[in-house]
Amino acid sequence: MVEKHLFQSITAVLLAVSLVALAGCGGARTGKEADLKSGTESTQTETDGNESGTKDSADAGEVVELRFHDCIPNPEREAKFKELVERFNEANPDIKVTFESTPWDQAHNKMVTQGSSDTLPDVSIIHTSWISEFSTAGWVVPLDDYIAGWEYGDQFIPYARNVLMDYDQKRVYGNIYGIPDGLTISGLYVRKDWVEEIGMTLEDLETWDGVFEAIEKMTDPAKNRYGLAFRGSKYGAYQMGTYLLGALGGRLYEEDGTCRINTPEGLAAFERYCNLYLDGYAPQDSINWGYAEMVQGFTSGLSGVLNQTTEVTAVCAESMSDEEWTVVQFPRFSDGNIYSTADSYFYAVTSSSRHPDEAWRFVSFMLEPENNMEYCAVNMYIPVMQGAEEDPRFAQGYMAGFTKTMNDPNFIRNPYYGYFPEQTEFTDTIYDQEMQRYLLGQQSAQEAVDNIADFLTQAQQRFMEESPQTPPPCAVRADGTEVK
Amino acid sequence: MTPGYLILLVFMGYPLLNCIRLAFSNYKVTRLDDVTFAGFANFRRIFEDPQIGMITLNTLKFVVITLALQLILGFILALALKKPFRGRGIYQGIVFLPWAFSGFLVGLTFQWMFNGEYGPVNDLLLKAGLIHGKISFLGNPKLALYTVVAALVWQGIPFFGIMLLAALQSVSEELIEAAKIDGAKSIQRFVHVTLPCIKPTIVSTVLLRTIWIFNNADIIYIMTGGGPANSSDTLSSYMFIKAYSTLDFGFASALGVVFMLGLTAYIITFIKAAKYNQAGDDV
Repeated sequence: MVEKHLFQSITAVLLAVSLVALAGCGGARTGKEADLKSGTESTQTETDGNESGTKDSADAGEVVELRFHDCIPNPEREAKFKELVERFNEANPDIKVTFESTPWDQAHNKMVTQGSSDTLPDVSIIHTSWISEFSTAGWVVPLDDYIAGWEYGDQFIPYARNVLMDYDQKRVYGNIYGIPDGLTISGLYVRKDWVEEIGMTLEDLETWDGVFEAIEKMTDPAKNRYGLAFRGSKYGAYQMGTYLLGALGGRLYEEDGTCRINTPEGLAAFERYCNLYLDGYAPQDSINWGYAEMVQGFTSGLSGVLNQTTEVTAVCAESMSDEEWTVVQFPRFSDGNIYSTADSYFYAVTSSSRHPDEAWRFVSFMLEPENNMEYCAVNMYIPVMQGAEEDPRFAQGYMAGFTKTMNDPNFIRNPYYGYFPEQTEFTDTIYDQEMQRYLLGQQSAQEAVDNIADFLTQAQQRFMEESPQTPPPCAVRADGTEVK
Repeated sequence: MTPGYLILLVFMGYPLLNCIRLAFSNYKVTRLDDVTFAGFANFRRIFEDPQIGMITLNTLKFVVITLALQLILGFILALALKKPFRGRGIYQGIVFLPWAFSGFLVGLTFQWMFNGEYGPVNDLLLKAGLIHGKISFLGNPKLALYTVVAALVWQGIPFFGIMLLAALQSVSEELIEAAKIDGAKSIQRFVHVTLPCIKPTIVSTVLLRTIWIFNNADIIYIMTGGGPANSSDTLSSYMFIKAYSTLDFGFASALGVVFMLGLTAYIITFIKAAKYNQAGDDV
């Protein structure tokens, strides 16, 4: 009896709670929708009454309201955005931009919902992988004409312009829909003091041969020192792959989709990199290391060399002294090229905007070289506009290594592993597992590269049959040409 | 009772039926325009998977060892807490804390404790002179699984402790007194009086824990990600990782259906073997 009563009470409470929650959600959503609707309608009326644009609306004393949306908010970023928005609003009394943000995990879903109900914010930061979806759905507007007519339109750094805008977007979709906001790239974090101790210079670490030499020389298990913060799991093989793809000259696939990872060059590179672990130049535990462990390994003084992106500078600056560490540019191969990747988020103007011209004025303001640099300095990005290589915030200290890498004319973006659906499965599990089996002595290096190559070849060739119009992924030079 | 059935139907019935439907479909989230009937293809793939043998064996080791240790240590804990002593309430509160922690936190804490380079476990063992070099607990394929087991044992002891303590406290003192008068020694009293009385609790707790341990994927995922090279994967962590890295929900659902059948068979056998229905009727 007691049990039955208890069960009924619990059920009643649960039902009540879920009903309240549902009602709460419903109420909130309706409220928000109402806001959006009224917002859209009021802006709609403004446009209807005022086709000729900004100046007129200013003259008429009407203020154009714009919504600017961020999809990867954090407190510092938000503060900087708000500061820039305020400055823009002051300088442009005819426009009033309001800032809004959605946490990353919900951002995509929210934007898709807004896209289908035509209530997208006027301007948004979007992820590179959304461009294809949003442009196909017609939710973002082409920016080519705006860029062409903009005073700073020719001042993008070559990689941003040629690769991220022209090669990745114009070539594929016929237009540019997103403008990169700042670049995240890899650099080599090194222990300056250890480099000195082993009698080498920081310049020596600008080539892969120099890096291997330094890693070997720095290692001294008696002092609990290892050369490399090796990443053995959670995208560990992906990191090894940066070196491997460079050794292949950026050519991952043959024309027919056969993967080249198990060629003699591929095998040699795989072995050379993995042997850093096998020969004891990295801690034994590092087979299980992911992002957090490798960063800890470097900051705690266990490892001397760390391959990481810009955001790790904040952690290092907090826990290490300036004399201990710095970042050198990403190492060069013997062919003179730097093979790596550089990604960005993008500014996009949406098709829900009733004032695309004003929206562009806001985007162009955010991208003005000084504003872009300010924004990038807060976010630890490398600016997309020229001039950073002369600016002390980016040209000195530990940021210099990244800026130099990004502005290097011989920078080559490694090819993607593929556009096929198995791509996540490959980078999430298979790649790591095949490398780990070699590291654990469960298979030979040849078997490991054969298995990796077989998986990629099958996936790529199947994909080529299904989508013959999509060419195999290529490495791209900073000037936008493909490495064939 | 209607709301109860409704909740069961919505939250248990639908996912269950949907899982069975998916298990017989070619259902990849990346190819939703191409969902077809797959017959037994997904099930065939499970048995053709080169890792499945090792992972099944891992699962058995994982469940049996964790369960046995939790039961034994939980029992000891319950016995220790049975007799009143000063500060028992506070002590009880503290030892039951691990059960309140989320798997995520426990995973992260143990991952840090067993870190091969600067984890406190290595440090203590070195200082005690028990080992001469650092051990890579999570990087060694022979040790990784047992490291996860340690975390899970720690987290699960209080559950057994709570359940068994409650059962122990409900054993009638009169029965024990009677046995004492009949001349039974303390071990005899425990085996012939206490144990039969708390048997239903032991059986149902073991049953529940087996299922929970079997289905536990979060601690594995956080501590080792199933690695190195699948050496600490169990069927449920493997299913989870496969489902979300390949987005092949058909294959993952087939694995889920196989689990369900296996667990059902286990429960039926276990209940029969433990003669659950004929056990003592108190509690």
